[in-house]
Amino acid sequence: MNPAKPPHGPVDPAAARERTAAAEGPGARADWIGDGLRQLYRRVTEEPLPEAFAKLLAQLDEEDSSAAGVPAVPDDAGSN
Amino acid sequence: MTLAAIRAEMVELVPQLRAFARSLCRDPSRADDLVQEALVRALTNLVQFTPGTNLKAWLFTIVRNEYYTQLRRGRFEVRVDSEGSLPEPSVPPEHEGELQLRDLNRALGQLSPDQREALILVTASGFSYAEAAHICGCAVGTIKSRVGRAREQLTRLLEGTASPESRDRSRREPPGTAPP
Repeated sequence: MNPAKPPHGPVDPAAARERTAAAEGPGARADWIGDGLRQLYRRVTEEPLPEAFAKLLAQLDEEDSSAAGVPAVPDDAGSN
Repeated sequence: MTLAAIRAEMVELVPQLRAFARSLCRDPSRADDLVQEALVRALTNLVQFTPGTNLKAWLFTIVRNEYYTQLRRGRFEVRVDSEGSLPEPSVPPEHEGELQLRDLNRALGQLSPDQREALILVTASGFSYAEAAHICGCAVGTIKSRVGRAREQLTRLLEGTASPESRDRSRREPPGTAPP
């Protein structure tokens, strides 16, 4: 029913292929739904960010320069 | 990957987080609040992020968890309306394409939250079924069936707005001109 192959994990390289299959959905009949959804979604992503985000993002930058000493903990990277 | 690099990537993902949040809670200003709270949470818990893994999926998971946590606390009162999940087109719907998008958006708003989030994650956000399953904390098969049912439901809802004879013509173009 669905042409997508079984997925293997979050950062599997096969995920890219599957993404395409998943996004296209089962057959051409559904294409316009996918296209429409992507278009609606993209409109939000293309909106200018509200002022509130500018503040938060500026804060992000500040913390950037002050929090250099906080270690990132590499866990079981690549566990997928 | 340095923390600075992770933060920079986070900043780039904000527009997508906004779009996903809006599809969840359907109210633009609440969606933005949600994203900001999620970003603060993500920063606070940044050490829990494993560099080299999928930052986008991690952030989407936080937005989603934040949404459902707030929902349980009654922070979002249930607003049942006929408006869609994503923004109404800002230009007057004089083109048929705009009408179709508006109808699609309204139909999207009628899906169950489970189906809507699965559909958006896979179809619009570009996640694989496995990634979407990870984000939603459910099985891959569950995501697949939700996406499938969401698409069926959308097709039904949109076909319901058209006369039977227009359905054949709408094979590539959904009906959008008929009044709801």
